[in-house]
Order: sequence, then structure tokens, then C-alpha cells
Amino acid sequence: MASPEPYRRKAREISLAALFACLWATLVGGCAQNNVFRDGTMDFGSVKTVAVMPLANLSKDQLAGERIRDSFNTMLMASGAIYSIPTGDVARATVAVGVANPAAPSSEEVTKLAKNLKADAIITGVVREYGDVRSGQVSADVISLSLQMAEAQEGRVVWSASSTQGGIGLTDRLFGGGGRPLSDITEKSVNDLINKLFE
Amino acid sequence: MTSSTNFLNKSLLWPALCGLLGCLLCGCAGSAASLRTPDGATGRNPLIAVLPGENLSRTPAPTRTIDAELYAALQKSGLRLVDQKAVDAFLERHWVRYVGGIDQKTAQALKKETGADAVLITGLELFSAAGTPRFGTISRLVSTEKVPKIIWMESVAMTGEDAPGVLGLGMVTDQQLLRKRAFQQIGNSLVRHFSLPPARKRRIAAPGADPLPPFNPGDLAAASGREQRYFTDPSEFSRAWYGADTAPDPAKFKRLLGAIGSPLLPDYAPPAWYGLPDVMEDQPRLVALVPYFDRSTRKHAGEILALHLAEQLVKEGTFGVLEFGVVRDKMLELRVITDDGISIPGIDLLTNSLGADLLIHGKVFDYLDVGEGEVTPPKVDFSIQMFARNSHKIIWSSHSRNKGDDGVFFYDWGRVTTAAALAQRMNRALVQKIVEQVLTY
Repeated sequence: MASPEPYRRKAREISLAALFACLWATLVGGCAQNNVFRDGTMDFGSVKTVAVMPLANLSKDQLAGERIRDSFNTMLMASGAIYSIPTGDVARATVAVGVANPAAPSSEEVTKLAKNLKADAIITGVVREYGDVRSGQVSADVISLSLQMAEAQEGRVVWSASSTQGGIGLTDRLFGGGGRPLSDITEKSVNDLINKLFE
Repeated sequence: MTSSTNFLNKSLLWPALCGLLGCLLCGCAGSAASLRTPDGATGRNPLIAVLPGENLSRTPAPTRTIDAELYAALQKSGLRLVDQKAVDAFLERHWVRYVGGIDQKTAQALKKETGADAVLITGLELFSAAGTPRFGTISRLVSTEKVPKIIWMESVAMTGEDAPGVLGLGMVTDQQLLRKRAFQQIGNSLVRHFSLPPARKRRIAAPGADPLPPFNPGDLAAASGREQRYFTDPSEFSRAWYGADTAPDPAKFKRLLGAIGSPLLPDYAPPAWYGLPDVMEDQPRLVALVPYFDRSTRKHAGEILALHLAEQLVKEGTFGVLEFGVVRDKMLELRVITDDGISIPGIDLLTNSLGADLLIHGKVFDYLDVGEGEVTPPKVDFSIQMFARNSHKIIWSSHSRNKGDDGVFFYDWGRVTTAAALAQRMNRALVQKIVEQVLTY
């Protein structure tokens, strides 16, 4: 009669291998967040002037889009590489071109806007979350937004990225606290997007 | 025959004492008589017309009483004021309803009919008589020249609990006392302005210049000639001993102290800013401030923040600031609409018609003051952009946000109790940053 030991050893090895494979898939799958799209054929160095359109606002705060657009404009110019056209000019051009939805212009509207404003690219975006989020007894501020850049010649989207900052973390759940201030996470999120633009 | 050589001779004592007392009294008697005036020709203070105050606070306030108190305080300071009845008659005659500013035509008419050399325009930005009294006002003096400019500006914001002291003995519960102190400060500041007019600081902008010039053999000869002086001039000796870079420098010590203590000190400078260095030579620049967009929940927040920025620009001395009423009048005349911001055609129209070199526009997102019984600190959040006339480009863009408890760690020490005081500090830091980054090398 054959000894059951080798079978037990083999079963143990197979179960350990399966466990490691599951763990590895979880870790790698969790790390593989690819939330940046960049068109490889686009020469981003030629983009010197951009127009930032009003952001679509899906959050509870009515001014969220305007606040983030203002912060983004300032920090984009502070990078020293790109000049952002004044919002007054963008509003004037939007009316002149006849853009139906300033937050989501079509490709033809993008080319017309860029020609009117003499911009190299048009940036649009969506604010998905802005403000406090609750989970049980704990609340914290969260911001989630995404931006896209369309080039001026054809109106193609050549860059897209998203960023989410803040929210309720493990320490907030365990020890309480309201998380980081909204202004800090707004700055961090905008910085994150600008870093992704210049990568 | 004897003679007394005692210095304290009774026959000389009383005349000497009387003479000394007379000198002291003459020195103390009325500073108004010795004020220097900007023009100096007449040898007297300029004649000031005081307009009724504009209520920029969100609460009803006894504006007539406050105007009368301000008038009395300014008279007591020794300033020459146009009779209030004459000013009221002028306003009625010319149908002047807007007292938050004065346009060119009205200023000229005021000068012609009342002889006023300047106009004092006051805005009441904070008023609360219930509970802990709060009072805040911002005043400016506008010249009645061909192009009215702001020549002096001051803001005061105080609450009864600013300096409570030990056991609350310093608390002020009387609103009238608070107003009296505020107007006293305004009057003193105005008198100081006339007696010691601020000299315009000279600034040279050359951001491209190399701070370390290349070595020149001639420098070696010059250095050897200076060597002898090191041992005769102590300052040169210390520079030679410690090295030019490490010589004791009070300004450097202050900067070091600031750097060490910076995590504990509140920082009112904008956290995000963009500045385009202006390579022009030092010259006075005329600034026009366009009314801010107000996205906050506080009424008149845009006007209040624009006033605070103008105050710091005037105090800084590098800029000439156009009167708000002139800009407002021109915008109405030319039908300049600022829809989501000012556009380049609008910038062109305004700067060319006003003769302004720079134009500033801003947005207010938050201007939250503290209500009675509330513990949340005041909060101010705004952004500004500065445009240059010739290039039509943004030469300054910044976003400032602060709260009253920034940098407060120990028992409310350093806490700012009003949004007005917070806005004043933020704008002061902002203007310093603008001058450092854009205009100063």
C-alpha cells in the first residue's frame, strides 16, 4: 500500500502555490492603475498656450468647477512651461464661436476655439467629487476630477488623466479626525494632474 | 564783601524755570500748526471733503451717527474739512447717489464748488452692536486732480475681545468706544501722512542680471587697494574676517529666524502664484482695479477685498492706484462687461482710456466672518490676475486662502478674529510677493 505522505505534501504545495498566485494577482492588479492617456504621436513640447474651458461639475458644491479651474490655471502657469489664456477671453470666444456646451466642446468647436484664441490646445474636465464624504461616524473631504487636452489642429484628445485625493483612510476610521483640509487636497490633486501632464 | 557762586541763585531760578516751561508748552501746543502739506505753497493742510460712508457690512448700521463721529474725530485731529452741509448740498445738487467712489467729473465739480483738494471716502465693512461689539472701516483719500488717484488709505477692524487681558479686564463692551478708537487711528494715520509723506521706494527690475559678475584682473588690483582699509574700518574688517557671504547681517538673521520659526508662524502669502518678471526700468506704474467677481455668500465681499488690495498697493508706494469711482464710471460709459473675467478687448479699452499701465481683476470664493457665538475662524479665499497694457498678458496670477486660526497653536495666541483683519494681512503679503517677484531684483 502506498504511503499517503507524498500525496499530502503535493496537496500542500498546490494549495500554497494557489494562495501565492491569488495574493500576487491581488497586489499586482491593485498596483496596475493606469489612469493617464498620452498620445505617442503628439509633440507636447509645442504646446505653449492653452485655454482651460469651464469644468463640468458633478459634485454637490456649485462652485467646485470654478474653484478648481482657478487653481489649475494658476498652478499651470506657475509651472513656467504653459501660458493659460485668461478666462474672460475664453468666455468671449465661447460665445463668438457658438459652443453649445462649454464643458464638452466637439472637435470642430475645439478647432474653432483654438483658432479664435490662438491656443495650441484646449483643456476640458469634469469634477466628479468635491466636498465631504461620510462613512458611518467618520467624514472627510475628497476631491476627484479628470482633465482632457485636445490639440488645436484636429480637435483630437491627446492627453487625459484623473486624480482622486482625500477621502476616509484607515487612520480616520480608527482614530477619527476630519481628514486633510479641502484646500490642501485640491492643491495636491491639481499638482498631481500637472505632474501627469509633464511626465 | 561776599559773592555767591551758587548756580541755583534765587534771582535766576524762577526766570529759568519759566523759560523752560514756556519752551515745553510751545513744543506741545497743537501739532496741526506745524504740519507740512503736500503742496507747501499755501502752508496749510489740504481742504478735505468728507463723503457720507457706504455701508458694506451685511447688517444695518447707524450711518449718520457714524459719519458725524468720523467728522468730529477728523476735526479734532486738526485737519481742514469742508463744511458737511456744503458737501450735502453739493451731493443733492449733482444728484450723487453712489458714495462708494467718485468719478472724474464729480471730483472736478467738487473742487470747483467747494474748493476741496481731496475727498475722503469711507466704507463700513464690519458692524455689530449686539453681544461683543465689532467695528471695521476702510477709508481712502482721493485727490481732485484731473485724474483722481488714491493718495492715502487705511483700514481698521477691531472687536471688543481683541485684547481681553487678565480676567477679561481689557474687554470692550461699548460699540461707541470701539468706534472712537477706530476713528482716532484713522485720524492719526491721516495726520501722519501729511506730516511725513511717504517717499516712493525706488526699485530696479533686472531679473536677467548675473548676481556674480565674471572675474576681472582689475578687480584684483582694486581688492589689494582695499586690503589696507580692512584694518581701519571695523565693518570692512568684519566682512574680511567672516567673509562677504557670512558677515553678520541683521536682515539675514531675521530671515533665518523666519525660516526656523516658519512652521509655527502663519503664512499669509499665496500658496500658488505665477509672476512674469518685468524687465522695465523703475518707473511709477498706474494700476486700475476692476470690480472683483463675488462668488461668496457675503454681500459686498468683492468690493471689500478690492479695497484691501488697493490699501496695500497705496501703502507700498511703488504703484499709483486709480480711484475706484473713475474705473467704475469708465466701465459703465464704455459698456465693458466682465463675463467670467475680463477679456483682452476690455483690457485695451480700459487701460487706454484710463491711462493705466496695469489692470487687476479678481474673484472672491469665500469671505466668512465669525458670527456671535460661533467658534469657526474667519476664512478668506480669493484669486487675482494682473494684466499689462502693452503685452495684454497676465503678469501676475495668484490664489490666496487663509483662515483666522492659521499658525495658532497656543491658547489662541495670534488668532485673527475678523475677516477684515485677515484680508488685510493676506493682501499685505500678496503685495510684498508681487513686488519681490515682478518688480524687484
